[in-house]
Amino acid sequence: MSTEPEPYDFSLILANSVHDMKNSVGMLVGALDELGGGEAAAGDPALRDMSKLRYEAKRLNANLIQLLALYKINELGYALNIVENDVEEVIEECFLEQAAFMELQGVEFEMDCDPELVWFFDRELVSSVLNSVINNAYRYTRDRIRIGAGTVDGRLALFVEDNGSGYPESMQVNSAPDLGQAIDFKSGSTGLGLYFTATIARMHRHKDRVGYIELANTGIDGGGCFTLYLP
Amino acid sequence: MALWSLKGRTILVVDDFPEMRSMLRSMLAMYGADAIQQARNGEEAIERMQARPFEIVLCDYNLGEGKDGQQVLEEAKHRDLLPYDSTFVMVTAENTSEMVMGALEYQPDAYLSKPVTKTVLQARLKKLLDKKAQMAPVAKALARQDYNQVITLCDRFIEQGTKFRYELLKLKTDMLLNIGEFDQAEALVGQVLEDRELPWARMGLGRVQFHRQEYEEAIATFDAVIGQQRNFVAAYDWRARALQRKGDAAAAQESLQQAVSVSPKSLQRQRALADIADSNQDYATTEKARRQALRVGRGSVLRQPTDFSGLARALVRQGSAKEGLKVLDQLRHECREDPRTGLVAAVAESGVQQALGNASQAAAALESALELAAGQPELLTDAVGNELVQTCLEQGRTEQAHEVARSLVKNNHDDEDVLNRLSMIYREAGLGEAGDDLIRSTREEVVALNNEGVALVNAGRIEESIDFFSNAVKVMPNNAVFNLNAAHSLILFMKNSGPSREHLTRALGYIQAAEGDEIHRDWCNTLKRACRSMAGAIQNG
Repeated sequence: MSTEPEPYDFSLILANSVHDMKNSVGMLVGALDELGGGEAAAGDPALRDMSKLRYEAKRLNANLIQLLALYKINELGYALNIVENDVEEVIEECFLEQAAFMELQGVEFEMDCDPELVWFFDRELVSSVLNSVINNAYRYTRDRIRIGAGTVDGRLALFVEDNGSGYPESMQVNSAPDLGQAIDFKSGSTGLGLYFTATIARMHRHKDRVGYIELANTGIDGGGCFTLYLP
Repeated sequence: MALWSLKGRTILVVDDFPEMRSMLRSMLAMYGADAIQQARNGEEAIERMQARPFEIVLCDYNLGEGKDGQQVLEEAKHRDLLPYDSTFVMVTAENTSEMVMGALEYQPDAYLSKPVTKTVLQARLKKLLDKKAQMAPVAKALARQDYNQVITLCDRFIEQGTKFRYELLKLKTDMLLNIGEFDQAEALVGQVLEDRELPWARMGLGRVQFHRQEYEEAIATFDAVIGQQRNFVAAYDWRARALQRKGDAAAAQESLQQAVSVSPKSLQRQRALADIADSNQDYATTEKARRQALRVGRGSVLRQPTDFSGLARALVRQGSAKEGLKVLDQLRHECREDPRTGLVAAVAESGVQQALGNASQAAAALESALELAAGQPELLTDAVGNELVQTCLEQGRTEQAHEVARSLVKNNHDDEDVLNRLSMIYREAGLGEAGDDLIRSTREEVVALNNEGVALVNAGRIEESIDFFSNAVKVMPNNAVFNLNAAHSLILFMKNSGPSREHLTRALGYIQAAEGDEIHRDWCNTLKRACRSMAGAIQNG
């Protein structure tokens, strides 16, 4: 009998672990929402502190989701599921998912979207991008966040803006091809999220046009504004 | 919130976890839902839907043992348990599962990712119900199978400007392909593709090419779809069909094997793989695919007696005749309600007994099969017909084989797939020439007979042609051309002498008998439309 270990595929093990972690963190976020979402929680400072915990957990969850999606696309050859989407519906779902929490935290959260807008994109991936950006905006905003969508120059523009102090200059980018340089994993915590986001944007192609992201300080009162442009 | 309510809406919640069911239930109840039923698994879900139609079905994809959500959806659509205006929402645990399922042929109205929150559930249902309400006329026309009306409505909605433009274009493409308007379908998908490279549009183009018998072009188109979206299973299925028509059976099998690995839980796909592996004499693959077909088809109306007999035959070919006998017991038990079971089981039994060396039992089973086939010719479908011919040849009953083969050709005289298979069976038995002679002469006979009938029609002797084709159908009940010609003559008669209920019923009966035939689908649909307008004339006049 052979005692040689079975050959294994490390990337598969990694993917399975990511999957498992993603589910655990997802449950954690859910549990935190339950705890923090009750009426009684509003005045409880201890529960308010949990918002930090929730922020980190959501960030982790979003990163794991995106990591897994990229694995499936790159390693397993899954295609993006590009279908026609009701843009308002997608925005509204992201909005609703966070609205109760934002209210609890005293953040004025609003959405602004043309109800007739439809566009082609991968709904799950784009939702996950928006969720992680909203979570990021929550971290940096003073007290307002606005999300929405419109069309700019024949592209769909999905935006998340806040009234915080804005992105540092080094992070302000506005086109996909430059992004390789703009992302420096050493520079800080947003690197990975930004990389995912830019990759997902770039995977959306139509004819010779490619999706990209823009980070600028054109938000509310000069705050940060993240925009995902999809062809 | 009070403005929008689920009150009075019939809702079915399907999930294997009681906590999930009660959670969804209480979320729905918050929005006024008061007619909620539950099912613990796929089988129960089908039972509930059989008992009554639901306006909304919320179904978890992962249902533990047995059917998954996708299979529930397929079975429900196939059995017509989901009215066209109902809303089916698939709840998925995987954030990214859509990447797999988005490419399947049966699509729910929406996917909802877990964890489901009440606000998202409410928002999504509201949008879906609004959309259903807007699209109600289309749903009604679909339910009536009035494809022309569906097309008219699609055009009207698109012209008025709608959010659902591409969805309607896709529907219109399907309708055009259904009624055989291939030029129009090609023009439509051409326009769409100029605008956006969408897999369904590219698929539509491939189907047009397939129907025009441009198999090379069709294969290239299906390859392009697969290149864009590796998990688009329908593209593998169609590519296999095109490869088979082109005569490349090995590549066709390969294509279906890929399709099965992408999406293993489809009975029809497993059956198609088994059929082609069988004709490629790859019995190990045949056995595996038949077993899979039986497994995924457990409790499904899609399962047929020949799925069992095919397995038994694959086992015999691999030297496991004893096991084949067990499969036949299973067939007789599990399909006891199916009228075809007796004949199918008798044919297979004969083959198995022969392999076991029980010549007299083999002969007796074959005898009873031949009797059944002679007594009820409508039972002799192409699948069991081929098995019967093969069994007769194997046991030296050449005369009987010829007789069954002739009847098979008469019933399928212009179906290349059936005739090719038959020709191969004769070749395997070392009687290739005799087989081809038989096929050719019988075919000529049928064509001559048909021409005779058509000549009556052309000469304006419509009443005589009705009798002529009706008699032909009595001899060849499964022949689509005679059935449709009989219907055609009846319609011509009604055009001349005014519609009558009696003639209309007869015509519809003939059309129905030819409905399963893919080759004459457009003719079939044209006749159906003519009947429909006559039915309208009877009602109004």
